[in-house]
Amino acid sequence: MLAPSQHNRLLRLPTMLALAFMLPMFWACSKQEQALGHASLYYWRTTFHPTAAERAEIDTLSMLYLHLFDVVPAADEPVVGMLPDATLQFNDSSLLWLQERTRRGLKVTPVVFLSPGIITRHDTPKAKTLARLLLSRMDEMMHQNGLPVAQEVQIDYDWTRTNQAAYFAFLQELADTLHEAQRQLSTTIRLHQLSMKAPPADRGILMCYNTGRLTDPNEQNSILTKQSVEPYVRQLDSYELPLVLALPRFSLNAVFHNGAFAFIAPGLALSDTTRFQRIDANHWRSVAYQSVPQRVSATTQANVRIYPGDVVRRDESSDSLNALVARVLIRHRAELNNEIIIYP
Amino acid sequence: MNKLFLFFWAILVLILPSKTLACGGEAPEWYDADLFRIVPSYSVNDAAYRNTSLNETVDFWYNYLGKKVKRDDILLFFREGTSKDLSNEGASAYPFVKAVMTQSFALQYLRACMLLEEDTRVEWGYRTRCSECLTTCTQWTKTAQNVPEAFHYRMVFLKMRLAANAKNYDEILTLWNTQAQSCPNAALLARMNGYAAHAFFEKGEVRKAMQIYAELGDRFSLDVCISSFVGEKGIRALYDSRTDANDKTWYYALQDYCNYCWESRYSYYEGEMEIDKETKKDMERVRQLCQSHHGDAEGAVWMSATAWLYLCESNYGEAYELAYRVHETSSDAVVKQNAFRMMCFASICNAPMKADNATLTRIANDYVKLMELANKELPIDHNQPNMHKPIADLCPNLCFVEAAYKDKLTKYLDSQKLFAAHALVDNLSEQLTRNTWFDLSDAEFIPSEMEGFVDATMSSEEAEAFMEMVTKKKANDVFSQAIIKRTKVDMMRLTDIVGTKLMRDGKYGKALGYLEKLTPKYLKTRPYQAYLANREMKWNKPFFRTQYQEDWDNEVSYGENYKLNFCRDMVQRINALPTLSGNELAKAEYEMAMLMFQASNKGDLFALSEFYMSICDEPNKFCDQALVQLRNALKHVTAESLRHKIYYGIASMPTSQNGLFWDLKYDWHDDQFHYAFNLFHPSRDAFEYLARHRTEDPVTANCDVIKRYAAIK
Repeated sequence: MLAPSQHNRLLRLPTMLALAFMLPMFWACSKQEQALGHASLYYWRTTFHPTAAERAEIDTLSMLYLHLFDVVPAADEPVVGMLPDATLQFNDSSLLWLQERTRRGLKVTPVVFLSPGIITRHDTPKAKTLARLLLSRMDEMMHQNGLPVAQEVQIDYDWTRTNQAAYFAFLQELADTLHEAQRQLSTTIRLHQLSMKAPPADRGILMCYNTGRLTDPNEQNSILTKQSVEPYVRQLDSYELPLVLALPRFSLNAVFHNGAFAFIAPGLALSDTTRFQRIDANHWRSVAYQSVPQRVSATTQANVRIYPGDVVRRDESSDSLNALVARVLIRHRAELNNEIIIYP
Repeated sequence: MNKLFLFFWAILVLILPSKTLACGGEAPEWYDADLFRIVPSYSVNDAAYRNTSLNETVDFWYNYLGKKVKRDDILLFFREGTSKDLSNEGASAYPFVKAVMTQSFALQYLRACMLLEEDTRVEWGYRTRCSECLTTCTQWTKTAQNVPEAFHYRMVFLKMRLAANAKNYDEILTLWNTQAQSCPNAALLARMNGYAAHAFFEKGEVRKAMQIYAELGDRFSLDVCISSFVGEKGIRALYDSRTDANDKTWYYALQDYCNYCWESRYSYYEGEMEIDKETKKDMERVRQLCQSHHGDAEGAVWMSATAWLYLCESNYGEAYELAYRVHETSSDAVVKQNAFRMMCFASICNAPMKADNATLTRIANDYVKLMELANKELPIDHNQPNMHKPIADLCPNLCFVEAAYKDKLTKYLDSQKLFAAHALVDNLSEQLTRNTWFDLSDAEFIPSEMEGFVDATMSSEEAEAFMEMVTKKKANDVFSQAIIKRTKVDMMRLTDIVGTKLMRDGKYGKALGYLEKLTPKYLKTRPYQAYLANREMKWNKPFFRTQYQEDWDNEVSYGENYKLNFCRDMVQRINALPTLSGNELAKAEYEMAMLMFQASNKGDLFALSEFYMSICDEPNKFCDQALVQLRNALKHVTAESLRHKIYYGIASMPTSQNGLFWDLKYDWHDDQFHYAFNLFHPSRDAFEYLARHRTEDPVTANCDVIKRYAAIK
């Protein structure tokens, strides 16, 4: 078997880290009416080893949201039928650096991503056990790596109406345990969830990214468009949970084969005209057969093919759109200005 | 029946719009299925690897301990035990530990293995890298004295694992070159070879890595390596650089290329349905390469590839001839099976449009035999797909398209049509189980393949015909019969779809016949029932959707047949209409329109007429019918107050053709919503009326749309 891939979920850190600094600058100078709130950052890779530029960026922050692990289905796991996956590995020198930053005041909020559909409507009885296992592992990870006890933990899960009861029961267990120690719970809120009952957490992280339909060939930009946010603006007014805004700063390549979504391909050389022909601003047509590595499990990668005729859609976040979306949302919900988390 | 079936296919094939496919999302299973298979290849997944390794380890200890400890006891320790259990306390819990405790070297070795295993094991308990433990292990393996003979190769393997952990690929290769390869234990040797291949790969010696992976049959790893050997040049490079006659790496490159060509048939953009020109040229070069080796010792493999390339170009005659030769001459079971699949495929696709009974019988017999193989053949390994199945699925669809439309559709292999035909047959019964990505209960909300195709692409008459066909499982010719027999459908669900489609078309009487068959047991499993149970079926609801907090208890199930109740109510109302006139008639029509709107996908009772719903969907047929009723009511009304209400209904009604008269656009720059009016909309008369009479009714008096329209007039 080949070496474990270092790939992380579907999303990648963009190479243009300069964007990290452009957004606050844009906010600062674009509107006289109101300066936008302080920025925080997600760190969502499987190895904690920030580059010099990333370290410089983190140095400007007071809060880092650190993805610790995913939870994935595991039929042979006897207790809850799930297991941690893609656990964050710490590079030794980077860990020392992070420990030192936390001593200087940087707060680290651990985040756990629950894979889609992992909680079913029948899982309510598992809620307490899952909450205990998950919290204990998060705390143990922080402790064993010399990081301070997190005052808040965050759960990222795309719940639906059918599994809402079970997921909320799980959150309630988690919140109860955290509250006993004067700690807090936050959970991600997708835009479409604004019309649903608010989850039992202290804060909701309003995810203003991945708002489009990745697999739809007619999608303009699956990361963020004005149109995708528009229907939800009004629902902000009455949402019954304090919210924090999370905005994107990443890009991805969606490959369409035969008119249907095939996969996400990282690292495509779209400017290579022997391989791709540009169709329009964000579409390229493949003109040559090529193999692209894909992660097929936590420890295995395999190749997938891109064929001549396949179409690649390049989805990118935009600072100007981020700023526009943030401004409009904040007008409807002023507290969103308190903190804005960037998802790189 | 055959004509009916062909008619159905014709309709399906011709009307299936790209829209449906776009909404279909991800590609079907066979998109990734490599149909051409000349080497048995294993996709060694983590679970399979763990099992193989575990069995080998248990076998070793079982034999080492003189078969005095039960296999199950050894297995129990390796499943549950940890390095901490290797103590006197652990010995009381694990008979295996008790037996090992007396043997100093074995105990130390086992502890080292456990520590290494625990370092990488995924579990809820969190462990940081146990650097000290690993250093201790590494030191111990280097300095261990008096290694018993039984542990000689296991120590080599342990050292290789530790080296892999440290990414010391040179060390791995040194161990492999100097010691590992003479290991007499085949299972252990295979594991060591895997580490060596990985080391070769990491050091850039892909060719050597491939050779080992090919011997191991590790498909995933080969897939990664093979990207360095693409097309004619890649195959030739691998073949020509062979130093060993047993080197089968080129098989994989050839297989990969053939499968690539197959899928290239379906690549298209902006209406291009042919294989890309560059790909065609390369295919020609590969075919020439294959043909030049037909007479070799491995000619059957080359001929198989040639036959497949002919298939890719729809040259079924040549493909059949070559596949037949391979089938008759090859002694390799995998190559032979592959040839049989190609023969069936070519034979079926090459059937003349008006085949005589003898031809159809021959094809059907081949097809039935293929299906039998598809059902019987078990996967060679955990991830090894049954290769007969995708071909068996593909054949009937190609055949139907080919046989029925050869004269009409010159490019019958239009990928979308094929996709559709295949998806229908293949997915009719399996759709939900495939959607494991979703919570199964969510999957019930997601349109299944059957719902998607039957509901979205067929008229209610076609859906009825389809249902009759699959219910009776009868067809006129033997081939159609063979296909229908394997079509599995959830009949209750199909009954629901057909009944709902008829109801949506306003054919309430006919719908009753289907909806009556829905049992409470079935209804209790339907997610849409909760939406209906938590709403009231009232005629006097306004023409807009109510905001509901959908936080009912998900565990409650509802067995009431709401659709049936609705249809019965509508039948009664329709039957009463001829007895009414004037205002009474108008009122009855107005009430029906209200109910129809509520039952539409834009109303509160949307779950009556849709199995899934998105706010982006166009208004369904109920809206159009409601509008017809309102227009009828307008013809009969004499009372002004009712006329006012009817016009209000018309003004509020979105239609599938024209949408709404008004639209509310959000302006991002001034953060305001602005009204836009379509002055050519057929419902403009209603707005004109309401604008003139808006103060006569409290609803319209406060309606901001009408107020706004009146203001701009």
